[in-house]
Amino acid sequence: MSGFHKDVIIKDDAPNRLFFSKHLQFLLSYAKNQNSYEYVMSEWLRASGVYWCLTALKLLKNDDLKEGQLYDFVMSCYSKEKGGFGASEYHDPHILYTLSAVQILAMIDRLEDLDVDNIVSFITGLQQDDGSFYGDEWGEVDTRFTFCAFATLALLGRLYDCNVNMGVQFILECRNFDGAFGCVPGSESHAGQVFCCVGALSIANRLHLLDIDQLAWWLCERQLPSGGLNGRPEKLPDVCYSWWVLASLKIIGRAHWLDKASLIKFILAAQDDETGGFADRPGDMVDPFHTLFGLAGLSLLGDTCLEKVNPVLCLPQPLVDNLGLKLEIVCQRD
Amino acid sequence: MHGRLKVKTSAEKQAEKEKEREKKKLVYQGCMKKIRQLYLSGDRSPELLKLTSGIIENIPEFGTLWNWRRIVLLDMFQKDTDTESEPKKGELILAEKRLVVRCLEVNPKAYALWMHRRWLVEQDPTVEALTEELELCNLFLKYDERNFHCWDYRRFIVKLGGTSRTSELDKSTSLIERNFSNYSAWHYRSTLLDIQDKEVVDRELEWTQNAYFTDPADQSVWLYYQWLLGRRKKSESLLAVKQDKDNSQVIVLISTTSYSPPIIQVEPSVELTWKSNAVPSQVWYADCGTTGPIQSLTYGESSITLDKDLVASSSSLSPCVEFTAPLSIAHDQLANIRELYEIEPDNKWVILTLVNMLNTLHKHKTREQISELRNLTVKLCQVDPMRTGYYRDMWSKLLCETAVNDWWTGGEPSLPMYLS
Repeated sequence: MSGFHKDVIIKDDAPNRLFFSKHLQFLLSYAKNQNSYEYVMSEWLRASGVYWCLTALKLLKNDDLKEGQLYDFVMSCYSKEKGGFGASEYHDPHILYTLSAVQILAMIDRLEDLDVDNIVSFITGLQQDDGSFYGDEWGEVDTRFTFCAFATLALLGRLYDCNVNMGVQFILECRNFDGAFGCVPGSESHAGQVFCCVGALSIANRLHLLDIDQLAWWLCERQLPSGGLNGRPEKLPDVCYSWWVLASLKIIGRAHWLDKASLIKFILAAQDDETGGFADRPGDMVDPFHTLFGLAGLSLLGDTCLEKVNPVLCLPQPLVDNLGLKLEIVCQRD
Repeated sequence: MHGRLKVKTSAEKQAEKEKEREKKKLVYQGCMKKIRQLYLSGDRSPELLKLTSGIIENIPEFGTLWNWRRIVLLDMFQKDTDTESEPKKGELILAEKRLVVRCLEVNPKAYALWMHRRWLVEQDPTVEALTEELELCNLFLKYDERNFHCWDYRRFIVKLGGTSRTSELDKSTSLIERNFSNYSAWHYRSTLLDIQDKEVVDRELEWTQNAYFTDPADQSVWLYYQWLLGRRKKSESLLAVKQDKDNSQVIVLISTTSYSPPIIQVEPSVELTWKSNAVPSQVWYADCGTTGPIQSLTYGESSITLDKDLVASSSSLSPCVEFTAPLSIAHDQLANIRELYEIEPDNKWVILTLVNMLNTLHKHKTREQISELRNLTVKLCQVDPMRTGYYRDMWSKLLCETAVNDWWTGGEPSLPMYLS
């Protein structure tokens, strides 16, 4: 197997320009057709699904989705008793969907209607003695949840209601021999977890605790000959890593360590020119998740048709500016 | 959502597919309605287990339904202890474990599945149960040796006492020998070893050398090797100290980030309370009040004496380098890498490792050494053009560190430094 590495080959006739209006069509029809198979069957993660659609539409500078309906949906996910949000009505609250809910409300400017104290106590109640956060009362621990906690609290202006120092300490416990991060102490490094840890450290203003050059090198090594990015060594490239890897590099000021042109080529090739939307890699089925991260990646890479995106919160940059959020980003040269 | 190939079908087949999906959707909606009606009205009967299993086998990531199953099971466990009712807790757990495995066979990467399995084991963590779980891990690692959910679950079982560290080290050895490209196994190995033990490091270096000579294109072994040579624990020492001219405050910079106030001896003797603005930190300060000028401070093995300006730095303060290995190891290893470079002159991993080693070994560099490093860096940009941005910055950093080191040690700089 010497010299063989997992990768994809981009065909000559693969899409090579952005299908702006097709993506609009894809996202709007997905979000509006609430009786479709996809919509109904994605009940278990719907709050996140709506966040992906809405954010992608905002990056396409579209405001077609009715804010009243979005608000009603989000609030149907709210559990007054527990203080958190579930994926959908009647679903148990979880920190993942609580972040998605608050991100949606931020985009439709309804944060002020929240019982912030209740949501804050849901989140702070999930923090453990070692600084980690449970996802919900069932006790799963993961650095994804640290990011969800910090990001949600920051959006509500209440970051220091939790124990930030201990939260940071737990993140550092998840650092591995290669300088990157995993789910829990001892877990293998993974670009998704790296994004969560780097994002959380940015929110907490602790990026200086990273060995930036070491981590950024591990991240830029995710780029394969096809131009696409994988999540860890010897894995296939995937458009969603155009977000997890690229945003992490943006935050720590090393995005210029990637080959920009070939990455753009890979992301564009993952579009579907019939239905619109992006897939995980060229030739696969599209979905809103990869559509958001494909567009967000292209925005970070400088596509001027798209709205600027904040690399820490994956929200439109103008919104983050309006909220007055100061998120630590290391300056980069270009 | 991942790895689903788009397959073009005829209009007829498409219509058939739509009908099929519509049917599935209606069944799903009907089932979910029943589940909600029962659960939300307080029902905790086996009927709920039956209904939810229909959904969960198709959508194993459906967290809320697994939660509701646990609530129902806990209720049934309770009834089991109260009466002679069937089924017993043990049987329920077994049935649930079988369900989880059925779901894992279809979707081995669903977080909710591994979490539910964990909960089941925690209900009854016998030695037999833990052995069975290790077998489960072995099976799923055989299907996919990179499944991090399975690896994390394995670590959970090991922590519960499922097996020993030695046995796990052997496991990682056998996995790596079967396939050098098993980054997950190399990673696991890094968590099992005491990197501060010289014998351990020597043994690992020898073994790793076999691996990279056998398969020099494999990145996993190079990352592990780099770690063996470099990432040692930094010793705790004082790097710099400054006291305010009016003696009111003293600030220290220590070599490693600390979560708690460092224990520092002060001459003349005084108890100081060290504080930091953000923990963990390398920077700590203390109010000195009426102490007067401090002469020296001691922390760990290091001491700093303040000068008349009440400021001082440690002579061990040096530019950061990639490797911090003792020089003797690096010289031996350099010979191996040079040998491999003769055989594999276009291998980016070999060249990069060679550059890092030469940079570390020669803090002061002669013109010839700088020239060799420049040529190697140019070579890297040729064999690995995608990372040109990284190699350019790497070269720039190398030059800066070399120049700063020359200036710091008062040596003759090989390179002029332009600060404009």
